[in-house]
Amino acid sequence: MTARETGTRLLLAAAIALLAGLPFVGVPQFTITLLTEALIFAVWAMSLDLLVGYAGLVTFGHAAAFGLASYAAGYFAREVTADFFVALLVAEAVVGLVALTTGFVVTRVSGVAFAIISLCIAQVLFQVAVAWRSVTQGMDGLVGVPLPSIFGVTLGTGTPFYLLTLACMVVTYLALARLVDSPFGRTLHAIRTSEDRAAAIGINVRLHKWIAFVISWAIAGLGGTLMVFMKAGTTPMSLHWAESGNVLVMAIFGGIGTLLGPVVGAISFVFLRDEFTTRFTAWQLAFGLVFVVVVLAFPAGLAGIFSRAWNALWRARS
Amino acid sequence: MRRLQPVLFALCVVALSTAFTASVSAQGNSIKIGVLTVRTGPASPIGDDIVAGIQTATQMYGSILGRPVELVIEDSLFNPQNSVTKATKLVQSNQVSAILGTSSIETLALLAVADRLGVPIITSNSGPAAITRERCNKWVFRTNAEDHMSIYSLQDLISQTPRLQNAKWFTLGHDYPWSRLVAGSVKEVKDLNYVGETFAPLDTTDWAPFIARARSAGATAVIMPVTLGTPLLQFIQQANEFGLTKEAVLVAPIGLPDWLVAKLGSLSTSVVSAGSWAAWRYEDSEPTTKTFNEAFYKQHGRVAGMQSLQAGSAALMLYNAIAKAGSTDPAAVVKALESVEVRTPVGPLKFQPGGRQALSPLFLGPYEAVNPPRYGAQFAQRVEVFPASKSLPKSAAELGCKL
Amino acid sequence: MDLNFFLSSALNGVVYGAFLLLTSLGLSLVFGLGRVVNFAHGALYALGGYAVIAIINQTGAGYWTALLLAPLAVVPIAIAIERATIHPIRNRSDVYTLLVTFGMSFMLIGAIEYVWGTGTTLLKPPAPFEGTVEIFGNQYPLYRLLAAGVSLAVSGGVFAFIQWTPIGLRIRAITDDPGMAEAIGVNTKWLLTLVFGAAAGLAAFAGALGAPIFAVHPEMGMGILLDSFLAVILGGLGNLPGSAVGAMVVALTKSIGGGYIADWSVAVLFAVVAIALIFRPTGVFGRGRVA
Repeated sequence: MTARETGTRLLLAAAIALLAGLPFVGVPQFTITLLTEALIFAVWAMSLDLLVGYAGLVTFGHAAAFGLASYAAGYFAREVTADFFVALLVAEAVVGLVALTTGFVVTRVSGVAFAIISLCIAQVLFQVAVAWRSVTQGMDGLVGVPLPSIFGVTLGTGTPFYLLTLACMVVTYLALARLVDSPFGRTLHAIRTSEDRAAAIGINVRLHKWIAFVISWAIAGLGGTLMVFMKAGTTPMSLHWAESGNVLVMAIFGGIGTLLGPVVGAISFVFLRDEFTTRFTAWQLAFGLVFVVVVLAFPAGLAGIFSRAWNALWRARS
Repeated sequence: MRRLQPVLFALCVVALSTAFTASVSAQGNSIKIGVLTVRTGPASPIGDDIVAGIQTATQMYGSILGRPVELVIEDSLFNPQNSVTKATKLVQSNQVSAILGTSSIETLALLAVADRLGVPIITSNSGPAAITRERCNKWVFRTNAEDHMSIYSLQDLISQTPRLQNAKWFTLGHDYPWSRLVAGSVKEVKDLNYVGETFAPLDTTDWAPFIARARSAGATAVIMPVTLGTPLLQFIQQANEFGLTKEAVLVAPIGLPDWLVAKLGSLSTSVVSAGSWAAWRYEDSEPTTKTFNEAFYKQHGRVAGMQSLQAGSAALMLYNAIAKAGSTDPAAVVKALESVEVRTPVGPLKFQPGGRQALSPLFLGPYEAVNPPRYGAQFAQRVEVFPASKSLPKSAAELGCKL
Repeated sequence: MDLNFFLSSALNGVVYGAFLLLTSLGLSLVFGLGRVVNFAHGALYALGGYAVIAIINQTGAGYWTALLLAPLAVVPIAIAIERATIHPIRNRSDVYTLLVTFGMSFMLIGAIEYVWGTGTTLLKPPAPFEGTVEIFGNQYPLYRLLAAGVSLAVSGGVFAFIQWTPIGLRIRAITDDPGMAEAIGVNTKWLLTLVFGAAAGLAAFAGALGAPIFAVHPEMGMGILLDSFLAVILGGLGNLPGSAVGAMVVALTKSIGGGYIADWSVAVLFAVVAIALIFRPTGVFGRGRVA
């Protein structure tokens, strides 16, 4: 391990420690609330990064996985038990089933066709959420989701839930970081670079895309489960294509193919949107402007800015 | 390894926002009241009316317990998830004593987290019955009449209007649970000729297919549970374009906002409203409404619309309750709200004993030209009051509300 | 639920399809030429609606004059957008232009709200076309028929232009094979700017023409943007005749579906598109591109 790699690992560990310590050093309560939301989005955005940044599959329908998990976990938690892990397991089972079946079909194609078919799947689920009133309460939304409990202890809002979210986020990151460095991850990279060439050297392209799709949905399901507990409910709007657009923005804004980029993207998105919608009536103008400038000036996303600075620092040392 | 570094940036953002949020919350001795409503997008005229009504009520009431009232306005974006975030911001970061201004989208979302927020929420613009029935919550009050009350007023309107009694009824609405409730209630009316219903997807801009459906059923009375705002405006215009307004009377189940009436102009006269939540022409019989209308016109230069009058009434209820409680302690304010009685622009209001629904009147009648125009309004609803005693059971328990 | 009802629903579809055609052609042209997925197309459509109202209010011009001037007002804005944001990143991957136009869409909608407010404006159809005529036993608005006719005529003009003019020939050459076209000396960069402007003009024209039907508000373009995307992708990206058929399929599914199954019509539309794309990922109506 080079000194630089050790440096980056230390930095990462310090950042996690710092995030974990924030609630205990007098940071305003609402900052923690926003940060919790941001970290949930971060999990979701990382799952999207696996699809877009590593498997090369751009999707306009990633809200499907998130919203579906919210409904499954929320309904189960309300009707049966609020145990976080059980609810998560149920949500993952539902998401996994849908991902396995739709993924099998949708990963036959790539490019724009994939993007649009995944959008279509999300919109059909949206309509199901609107129409299946006996379970979802239609547009009124599913409400009354209790606070989650872990091993029988009910988790309060604020710091305890924040720490749970942070833990989920860190675990997701570590798991994904391992995954993309594994032979499977390298294969995905090969497919992303050229599907034809990958197929020519004997890689089962469809199988790999399918597996990536299911993993991505499963991780998004973790995000959706956390979100339904945080908001104590969900509505069909969580499946809407505008949400899929938001998560795509977070991932690309932060820098795809970097895993940590989407985390930064999600945090920036949540805090910027909150500030802008509070401060400006024409917030869309300001938000769009920042977005366009970042895309034009920093093609690698926000992550690109800092990796450049970090690299420069190490180069100056050696 | 380049993917590890943006962490630094994340920390910068957090630090920056910490500085921001910290700077917001330090201010004098004013009583802070949160207003959570839609400020951008196609629904924003609703939010404009709500904010304006609360501003007028605040000015009318003056200071409470010797302390000035400061309104903190947040944009809900008409999005449930964002509403929860913004309400949390109002409570945690602005330390508001209560939240006003929510419509059904926001109220339903906040209902889920009301216990966590721990401040009174008084909605003046939410229809869904469940809010004060089976899902009622200690913290959530409602001043406007709920959907079932509107339905009683609709049935009353039908029974006293021969033209409606003999009509062929058709429901043309958005795909909300509310719309199906409205449709179901029309079907229930005895001896009524119900010819069909259709529910359009929520993002419908071209109403032609649904108008064709109503027409092929031979409808002569079309009840339209459509989102108040741009969609309703589009629907009425297109109904007129197709000549449906010549064949059928349009029935608005919960009234038309007055900004919408102003845009429709003479087109509004093809609409009859069943249960408007408020009506400015009530001023002919209620002096408080007149005082409010005049103050509103002076402050905003337009007529006080349905949502303004309702939001203003909710604000007056809250301010009186805070004064009665003698403090802004949330539990004390909730207790005071339970017993406070106030003369508001929608008439004398109090909450149902043991419940959270105000005994609000409804206003029935067709839209017509106002001669001479008042407060710049050329068209408005002719009002007949439908008292809450006709539409609301005596006890909250009968509504299924257990606090 | 008789034959007349079916025919009326089909007519509704053709009318909406005519509008969709105008917006889809622009999207498809710009994609074919520069592989730009233009998310700001809906906002440009909205700008057309606002332009027509602003022109009528500011100059007192009649509706028809305003309808002709509105696209001319939007084209320079679109050209400026292309030069400032899309042109500099032409050599980057396609996803960046998609992102930039996504941001531009936010900016334009924000700008509209800033300048004209968030309210909705109704516009009456011009006087002689306010009434209805009887078709298939039902009253049908005259203005809708006229607007559909105008849209179809303008779209026909666009097809003729692409087919029979030298510029059209170049556009087709680049769409078929950008590398080869450049090699034989076609200036692709400025052509994209011009076509981007023209496509925006078409969208603005559709917005202005639709203003008396669909009303004008800041987010009026979002719905038609989504429908246009479906149409263009169904027809095969960059394939103009395919987009035209796609526009009609989308519009007919929506209106006939809306007539018979109401709330499920949109879900059916998405299911149809999904199934079609699974079997023909490059578009159902001929050779589109896999982007």
